[in-house]
Formats: sequence, structure tokens, C-alpha cells
Amino acid sequence: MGRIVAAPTAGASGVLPGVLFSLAETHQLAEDQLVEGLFTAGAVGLVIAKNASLSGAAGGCQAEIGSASAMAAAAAVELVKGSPEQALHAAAIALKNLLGLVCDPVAGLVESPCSKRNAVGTANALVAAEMALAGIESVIPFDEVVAAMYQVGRTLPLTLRETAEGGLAITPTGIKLKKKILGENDDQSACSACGECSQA
Amino acid sequence: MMMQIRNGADLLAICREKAMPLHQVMLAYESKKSGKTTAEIFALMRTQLQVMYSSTQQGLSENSNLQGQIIGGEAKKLKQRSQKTKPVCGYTMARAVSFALSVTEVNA
Repeated sequence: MGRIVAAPTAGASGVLPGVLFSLAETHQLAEDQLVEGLFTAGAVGLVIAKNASLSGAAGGCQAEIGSASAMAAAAAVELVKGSPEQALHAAAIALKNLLGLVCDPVAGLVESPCSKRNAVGTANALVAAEMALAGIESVIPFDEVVAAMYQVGRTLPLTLRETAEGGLAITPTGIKLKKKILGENDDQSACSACGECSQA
Repeated sequence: MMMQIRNGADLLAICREKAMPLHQVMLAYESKKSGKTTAEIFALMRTQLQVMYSSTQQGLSENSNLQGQIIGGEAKKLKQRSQKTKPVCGYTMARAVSFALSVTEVNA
């Protein structure tokens, strides 16, 4: 494991840098502007953290990649001088598109499907930003989308909230990979193996 | 500056009142909350950006060998393809995704 910036979480850490540094190349943005983009993203993350959740264990992947994508979409809008209103429309659109996304990591590792969901969260942020910059508005306002994400997260079963007990984690290939990595006799769920909650 | 940020509506109200973009509002909020100057906060955020940048590059270099238990080497594949041929999702998107994959490989 190398060093990354959790933005908002380690599992979703690829989205914001992906968006920022590709726009830096295509739109010739200076480092100071990219730092400003992090503050824009932070404003969106703050509101989501206050009104919903940023954790896959609490809200599923929508709370991680969905939030990261919303943060990055807003940042992309302000980086190219879009308005605060457009930035929040972009955030709303990005979060809406990933609403309901479950957290089902194979073998409980932050690798599959997390890595590719970072890719799609990145692409989704750029698409949402482009729409908002064109003047397209989110039908559902940002604050209501955040509230919906919180509600959806609460209704997701525990098996789809980072426990590695549902979804892709329990497909035949998911189980095969888990046995290969954690050992044939390891029947612990990723949740009990991790133990992070008990340490907290 | 009145700085209650409960939701997006609060953010937009402050932006309108102060004629500021979101990033300036957030910088002022962080400064007020932490007691640090805006320059100090900005400098801290710059170091975060630099760590981010490094994590987008590690998976793309020719001699990178990032290998998790399951993933590894995907960022480089995407970069190599976009250097050889026109990406079906556009250059910006292909670059953005290769950076994102690199970060996840560093994290694995």
C-alpha cells in the first residue's frame, strides 16, 4: 500500500485526482487552481457528510464513489469558471447517477470492483460537469439528492454494505478469489476479519 | 462572515451574498473553523494535491510494478492504448480514468 489522499475515502480516492489532473492537461490549469478545486470538492463533501454519509459500511458504494464523483463534478465546474449553482447541479447529477450503488468488495479488499468503480465515478463526474456547464439542471435539487442517498443507504441490506457478504463478493469467482487470498478454511466474513469497528 | 453550512442551500446563499465561488467560501470556512490563516489552510491543501498527483503517476510509469492481491497494471494498459490509438471515450476521459486507476493501484 502506497500513499493516497482519502477523498472522501481511500476506496474512492481515484476519482478526484483523476478529474483534476486530466483537466489540468486539457485546460492548462495551474497548481493553485487545482488546489481551489479541492476546496470546491471539500464543500460538497462537507454537506454530504453532514446530511448523509461518506462510508460504504453505512451507505454502500453510492456514499463513497457517489460522493467522490459529486465532489469531483463540482470541482470540475468551478475549475472552468462555472457558477456555484452549476457546480451543485453537477454534484447532484453525479450523485443521482450512482444512487443505489452497493458495496460488495471481493475478499473484503479495496480492489475489485472498487478500482473500476473509481474509473466510472471519474467518467461520471466529467459527464455531469459537462451537462451542468451547458446549463442543464438537475431535476432534483442537490440537497434532496443527498437526502435520498442517505435514505437509500439506510434501506440497503447489510450484505451490500462493505461486509463482502453479497453482490460480486459472493459470485463463484468472488468466492474463489477470496479462498485463494484468505485461505481455503477462512470462513470469516470480511467484516469480522477486518475488526476496525472494535478497534475504534 | 456568517458561516453556517448545513446544506447546499446554505452554501449557495453564502456564495450569492459574498459574490464568491464555492472554493473561496470553503477556504474561509476552514480558516474560521481551524483558527489557521487562509494561507496556512491553502498550503496544507497544496500538500494534499501533491500527494494526489504522485499517486496518479505511480501506476503509469513504464517501470511501475504496482500489484495488489487482485488488481494491478491496469492504469498502464489504459495509458498505452491511448498513446497508440484514439480512445473511444475521448482523450480527457481516458487520461482521467488512467489516473484514477493508478491511484487505486497505489491504494491496493
